Amino acid sequence: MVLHKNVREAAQLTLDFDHRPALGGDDFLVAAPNADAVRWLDSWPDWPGPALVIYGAAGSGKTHLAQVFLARSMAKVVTAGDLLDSQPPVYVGEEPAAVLEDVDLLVGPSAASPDLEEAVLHLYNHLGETGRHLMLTAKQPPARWGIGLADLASRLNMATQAGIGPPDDGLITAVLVKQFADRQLKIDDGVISFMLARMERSFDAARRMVAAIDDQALKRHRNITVALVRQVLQTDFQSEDE
Amino acid sequence: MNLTIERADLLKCLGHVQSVVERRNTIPILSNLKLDAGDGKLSLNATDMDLDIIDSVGAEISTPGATTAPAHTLYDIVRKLPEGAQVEMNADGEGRLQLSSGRSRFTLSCLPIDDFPVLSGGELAHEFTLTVAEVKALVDKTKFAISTEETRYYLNGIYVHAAERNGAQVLRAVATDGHRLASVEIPLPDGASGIPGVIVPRKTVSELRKLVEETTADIAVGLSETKIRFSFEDTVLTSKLIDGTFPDYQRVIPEGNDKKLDVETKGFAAAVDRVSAISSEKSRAVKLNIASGILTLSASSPEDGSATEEIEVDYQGDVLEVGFNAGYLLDIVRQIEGSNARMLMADAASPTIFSEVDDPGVLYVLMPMRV
Amino acid sequence: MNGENIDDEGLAPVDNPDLSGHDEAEATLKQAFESDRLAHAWLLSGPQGIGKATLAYRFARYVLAQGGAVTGEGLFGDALDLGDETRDSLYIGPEHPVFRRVASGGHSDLKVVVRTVNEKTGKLRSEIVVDDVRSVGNFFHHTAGEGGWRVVVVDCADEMNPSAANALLKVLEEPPPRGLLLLVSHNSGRLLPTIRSRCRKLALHPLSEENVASLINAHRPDLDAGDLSVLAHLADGSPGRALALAEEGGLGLYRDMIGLLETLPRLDVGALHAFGGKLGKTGAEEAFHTASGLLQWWLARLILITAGAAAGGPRQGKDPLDVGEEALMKRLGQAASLDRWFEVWEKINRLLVKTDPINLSRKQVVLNVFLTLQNAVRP
Repeated sequence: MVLHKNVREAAQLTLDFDHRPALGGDDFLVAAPNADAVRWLDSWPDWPGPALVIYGAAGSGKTHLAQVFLARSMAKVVTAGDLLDSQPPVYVGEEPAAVLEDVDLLVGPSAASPDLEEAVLHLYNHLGETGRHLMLTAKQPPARWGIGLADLASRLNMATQAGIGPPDDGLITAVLVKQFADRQLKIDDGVISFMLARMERSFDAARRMVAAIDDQALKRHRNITVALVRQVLQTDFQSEDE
Repeated sequence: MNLTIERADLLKCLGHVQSVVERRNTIPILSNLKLDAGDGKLSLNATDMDLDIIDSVGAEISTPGATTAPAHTLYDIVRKLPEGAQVEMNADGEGRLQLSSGRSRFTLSCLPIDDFPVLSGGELAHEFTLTVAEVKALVDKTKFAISTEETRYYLNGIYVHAAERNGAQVLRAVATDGHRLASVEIPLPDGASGIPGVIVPRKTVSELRKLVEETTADIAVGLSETKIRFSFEDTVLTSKLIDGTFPDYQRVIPEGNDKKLDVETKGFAAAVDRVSAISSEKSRAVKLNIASGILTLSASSPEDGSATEEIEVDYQGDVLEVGFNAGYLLDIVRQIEGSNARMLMADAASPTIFSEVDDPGVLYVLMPMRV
Repeated sequence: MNGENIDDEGLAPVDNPDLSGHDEAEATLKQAFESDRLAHAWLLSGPQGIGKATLAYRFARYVLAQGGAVTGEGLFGDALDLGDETRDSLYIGPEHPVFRRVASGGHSDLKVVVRTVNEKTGKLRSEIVVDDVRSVGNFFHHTAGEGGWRVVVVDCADEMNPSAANALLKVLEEPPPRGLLLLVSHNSGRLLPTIRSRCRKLALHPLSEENVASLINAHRPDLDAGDLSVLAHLADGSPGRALALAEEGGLGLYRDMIGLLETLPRLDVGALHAFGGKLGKTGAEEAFHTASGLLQWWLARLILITAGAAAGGPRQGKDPLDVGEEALMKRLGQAASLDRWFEVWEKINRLLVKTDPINLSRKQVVLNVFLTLQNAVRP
């Protein structure tokens, strides 16, 4: 546990409880594709610079990691509205860090407003000057964001970067097994490999699918077999998310 | 419900409970006190739904009964009645409480008692008794170290649990904010073996401390996984607990600190206070330069200048220089009873133990500052 | 219309012991609870006014009545004894101590998140803000006051602004054991996907007209059978909407409106001016909104019937006004092409929606709307 790392009292050392709270991570599994990103978040606030960029495809768990980080650091979530309508000292307040999600939509040629790049630069500078940190998420690394503002481009290109690879089969399998175990469900042989061959590679999909299967098994008082899973995938799961 | 009571008795009783009721409440029943008259007593019950206090006072009851009425209004009225007055209270069972005293008449609107929160009832699995002195020691020596950071809610209270030290069973209270830790223990009372470790919220600790100030009676403690209750004389304080896991604090109490320093407590506290006066900053640092027989305290501030002071200490060993937050250091040294305080150190970056030379059951851990 | 929070008639969800038409949803919740694998967060979704919040509080009371060490002094022993005779019911009677404390807001293990009053303006906020949700964290960080479950009801989740939704997400990520979150949502599609994905979804369906009619009857015994039947018909399966319509004089407006539509394609100009005048009067803003809603709803159904999409729909063949309403829809529907009807519908919607912001004369809008209709169906 990193305790009370108030940046203004950086000289105060903290008691090392080595207590990693179960922060939003009850089903966040650390595996090869995300190990790098997790390591950087774990080492907060000991980052080499003011910013950390985490990038990866949709569904790779960036937002989930951001949530883990938020719960741990009590960082402020910064929105495009904040950037455009307010100033960093106002919307970040005294929080030790800030999180800016989907930055690739805020900067570069497709940005909603040309003022956003300038605003992101202000935020970066403000946090840097006050010894605090900024976590950014995006689908691509900063070099691919097409940033127009040279000052911002150079800062973000130099920021610590961690990519999240797509969940591999091993990770998805682990997620599915854990999900079923959490629900104290026994499953037939072959269910996992059947699902694995037919599902989107995302944590979210795994969670929703297991929930739908649980639901159906309970409703129908049936064991969780390949046949049941097939039905769920074909019918209930398709319509499950409205 | 109909009763007559001395204004002074009623005011004292109200004073014990009304502060628990929050001033601004959008839920009407939570602005109210529950009044219960019977057996020659009037008992008042106040709650904020995390914490519940019942206090009773003798009264002349002509018709037993119960109702609820607005706490702060009632308190304000009784406060403004003349000293020595008699107060008559009458609940008509139709949602009104009449209060009369001398020529004054008040009518308060009431809410049904069934609407009132229930925190105080129920059996609690563990029961034991503490003396007032024990309660004061457990609270006073740890309270300052409770974290006030809401985000670390599991540190926002005192961790009370049964433990063992050198083969002896103890009841231990621990609080920490991540920079310092306070641990105080007393011999385990009968009935307290097998209690769950619980975190008693800061507000409960403060209310308890206020309430025990006036009593000399023993305090009966009831405890379960979800609640703690303190009862003495006419007062019952029941509280929810903090639902969290207190960190494994044992691992931050170093065992191999071999640099031992004994110092006269009062002189040390006064010296720290003087030296740290040089800076108005909250997180000011005091540097301790420790050499054989001499401790040199120093502090400096870019705006205000610098200060040093030497005191004699009992220390043999290598010269060591370590910095501490002056406020933290004072908090700890001021809690130490007995003429001598002991520091056990390893180096300038490791936790330092402070203890009472005469009482091994009291222990503080303080992390240094990098200076 | 605020169909979920009608409290004038003692019908507020928090103190309504009765629920109709949601037996299946109720059974699902009860079975989930008894299975010991209760999802910690539920999203109760469906149209406004059908009883989602009523079900949420009903489930909350049921859960709170289980396993608590404290049931109140000298009151009841085992809460389960008070359950309804039917196996799947979550009924807890109004005389039960848990019912009383839930209704008064005095249950220490229930946290209700609703829009709050802004202390600076003294007005009810238009959304649920982050502070309203933060209190949930504090609530879950304390143990249960009555020794059992801790329940949070969010009514309704759609009203959370983004910061509030993010704050709730944190709670959803780390719920404590024996902690339960019940989210009510009229439009769950608008919720953050991350919130939706962390909840078990329970869709509640609109009630049958019979069901709606008998519910309104229970709360408005002053209405006669004919009125009840029309209200039930107009309510689209939502008793909350039916009651709101009854309060707002929707019945009379609906009769006036149908009377006018009857005269198409040769509008009774005198009646039209009277209708427009009534809605254009100072203080008739509510009536205008109610009438607008009814007309939009009616035209949408006309289009559905004309397009044949309503075939087999639950309200086919009903004619509560006894004016050949469906025949009227068919007659008007056939008087213009479907494309033309879509155009008309959009034009009328635009007119009605624009009225407020730019302060058009309401009477003029009503005249325009009906003249547009007349143009559309003129041979």
